[in-house]
Amino acid sequence: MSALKDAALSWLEERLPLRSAMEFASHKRVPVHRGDVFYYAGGVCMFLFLLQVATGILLLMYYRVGSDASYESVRYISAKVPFGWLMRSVHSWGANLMVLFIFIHMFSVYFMKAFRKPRELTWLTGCGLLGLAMALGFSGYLLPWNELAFFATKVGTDILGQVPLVGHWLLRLVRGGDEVTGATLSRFFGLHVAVLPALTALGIGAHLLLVQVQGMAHEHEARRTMPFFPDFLVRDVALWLLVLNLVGVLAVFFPWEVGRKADALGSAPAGIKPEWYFLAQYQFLKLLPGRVGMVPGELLGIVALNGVGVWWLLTPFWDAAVPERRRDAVVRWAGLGAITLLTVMTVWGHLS
Amino acid sequence: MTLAVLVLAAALAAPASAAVNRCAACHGGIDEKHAALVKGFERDIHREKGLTCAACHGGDPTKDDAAEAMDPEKGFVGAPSKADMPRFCGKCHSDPAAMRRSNPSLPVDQELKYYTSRHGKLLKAGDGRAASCADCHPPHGMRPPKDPTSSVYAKNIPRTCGTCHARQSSDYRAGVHGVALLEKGDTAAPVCNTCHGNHGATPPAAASIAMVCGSCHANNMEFFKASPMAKAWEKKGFHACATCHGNHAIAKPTPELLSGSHAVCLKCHAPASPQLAAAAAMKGTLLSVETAYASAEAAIKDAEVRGMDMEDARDALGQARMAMYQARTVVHSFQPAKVQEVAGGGADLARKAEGEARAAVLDFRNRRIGLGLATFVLTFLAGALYLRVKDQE
Amino acid sequence: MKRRTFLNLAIVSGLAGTASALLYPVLRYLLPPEEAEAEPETVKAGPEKDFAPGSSKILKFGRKPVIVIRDLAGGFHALSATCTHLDCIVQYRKDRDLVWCACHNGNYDLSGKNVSGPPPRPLDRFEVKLVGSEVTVLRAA
Repeated sequence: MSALKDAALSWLEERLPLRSAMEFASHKRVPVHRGDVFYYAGGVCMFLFLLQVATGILLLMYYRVGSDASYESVRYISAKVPFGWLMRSVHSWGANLMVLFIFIHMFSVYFMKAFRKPRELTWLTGCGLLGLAMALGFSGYLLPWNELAFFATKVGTDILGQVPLVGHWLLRLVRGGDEVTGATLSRFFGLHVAVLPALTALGIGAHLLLVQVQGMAHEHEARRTMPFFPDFLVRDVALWLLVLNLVGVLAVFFPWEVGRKADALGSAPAGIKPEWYFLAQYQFLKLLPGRVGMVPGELLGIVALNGVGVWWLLTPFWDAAVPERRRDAVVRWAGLGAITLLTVMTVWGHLS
Repeated sequence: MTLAVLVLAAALAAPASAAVNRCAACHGGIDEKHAALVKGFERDIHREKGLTCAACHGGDPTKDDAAEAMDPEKGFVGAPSKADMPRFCGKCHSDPAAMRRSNPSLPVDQELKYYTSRHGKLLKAGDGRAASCADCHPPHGMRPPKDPTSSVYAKNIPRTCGTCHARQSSDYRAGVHGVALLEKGDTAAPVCNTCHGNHGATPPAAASIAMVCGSCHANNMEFFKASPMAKAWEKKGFHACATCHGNHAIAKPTPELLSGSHAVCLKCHAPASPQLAAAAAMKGTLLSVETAYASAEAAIKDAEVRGMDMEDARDALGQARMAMYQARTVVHSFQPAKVQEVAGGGADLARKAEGEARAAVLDFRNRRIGLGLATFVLTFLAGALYLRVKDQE
Repeated sequence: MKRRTFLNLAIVSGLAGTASALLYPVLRYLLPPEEAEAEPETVKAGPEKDFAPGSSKILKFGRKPVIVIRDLAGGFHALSATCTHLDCIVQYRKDRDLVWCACHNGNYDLSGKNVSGPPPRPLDRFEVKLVGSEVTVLRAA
């Protein structure tokens, strides 16, 4: 039995540097400390992405794109296809949990200061992946072509029109016309099932490669470590199974509704709001007055939001510029401030 | 002073070439009541058609002097008395040539019809309380019947007629037609004039009631006319529909009308007669389809509360509802077997819908059981993996 | 050693159980349901010879009932069969060459226009095409 295994491995080794890869993996160690539970967040994000790919492909078996077909096919999936309700609800809940876990992963990396040199590129790719996940969420939300999705997309893309000079051009580019129509649906579909997943897969590849090449931050300072393979990985897999359970429970007990078909001439339903991960930005834009001085409030808001985003993206670089003795405190307070602001705005947006 | 300003204002406002109209200049300033009349006339349909004060009231609107302007020699007639009103309006409304100028599609028989109405006959006999034109069409602000602010817009007619016929109006509001029109907003629902006529308004005669109701309830009328009941009704001089259903406060018919203590059949038939037995059979049939329908609807709601898609069951339920309505219609043939045939189909559809709803609820339970099993298996594997890797360490 | 064997066994059975818990829904999902998708683009109404002039047939276009009429002159018409007044199902009256709703005596002409009685709106129109000798109803463009 073991001779057979060895033969198979050496056959492979002649064609793939498998043993060296396994050798490399066996040296990877994960620090063990009070906060090490956060090390699992990144793996959960990747697992959820794979779950999205799997359920997404399954949904594609029945989904049809078009303003006269999308809603009908989603309704068909939910009502008629065996376990179709499950696939759709798992896909929707999986998307939300993925964004949630990316946030957890990001803030834990931030507070462990794991973004510092030489891991700036890992941080940048991670931020890019968050952006991709949000874009996936936004584009996927429109695909059932129901009332809520239609108006959320209308409001969400309206903001683009406020960008100076290129706003109208940008709006037409994203919507595929002046209004949210079947053309928008086609664009969002293409982005959602081809462009964005491919970019995300590439991004995850780069992100993982960087983690492997650089090893874990604080690996050498930690008092205790455990081998990544198999100790950490098996724990990872066990947790993924529990996360899958959670998705299943949410899907069965809180199934995603199909809603009513989008009607461009209908009035917007009351209390329409974007998905929770856009709520903070949405609430911020709502708070701004119509004009601040000579500048339209919404434009100012977009500039401010982009400024905050860029500031967050550049964390490893401004961090390096802070004098060393104040560096940890500045990072901690900036992070706590960001979390508090994000939470308050999201809850406020949810309640108002 | 005020007068002078008004005159000046009117003079300035009046276009030089168009017919000069000085009436408003004085009448608008007499008192509040006259001011309101002048103001109200601004959105009167007659004004919109290009008519001025003098078109109805005569006189010379170009003169500032009151005596000159309102000179009877120049055709001034002032405000008509109630008895003169039909002729006053009929000057134009009964004249095809005049109507062709402003509204060619409007009939010109209102005056003629009015004198055939109960209102017109009473007025002619000298009864000053009888309604004439202005009682239903308040002048100086009159709107056409399609305008929702008009006194003769469908939804406003019960109020307009109710000014005098208060009891009938409140009965109507309580009946099915009043509820359909005023509460459900179905402007196709009949209102006072649909059954009584408008300018020729009169209570429908016994013989014509079936015709009047049958203009919408066509099948009910056909069935009834072909039934053995029609002849007997005629002989007794009964109102075809109103005998069982009443008139203004028409209640939603229930199977209780057929047998039991509220049965209308008891008016003629003895409680132990075969006719009453047939009525009881029809009542039983209607009740059973209604029960099946209600039960199916409850089951569907039960499934919908659980988030299950019930479109198909709702379709079947909709068909069952149609059959239920048809069965109620067929009652007017007074043939229990026919009612049974239609109602039975409806009950079958309702049972089919109920079956789908029950299956959906069962499916809902199965989802939870399946989830429970899967959760158990996944948690078991997660636990085993964790313990195994712990063991290795 | 005994504990480890037990755990290995537990993992193998757990893997088998998990695999079936995941594969069962997926396989069931991939097998298409008996009932084809609702809201189709076209529906076949039957061979032309089934429609004598002055006849009609009610069929389902997705969820909506549609009445297909061959008028006395031999032309085809397809209209939504749901009365716009209170949602009763309408019928074709050969004697008057009209679409009639029995509930409150509403009438529509063959183009769907409400011509008398309570209906507030016309009936939605569908297109009819002859594909070979098959009468086919299409969603109106």
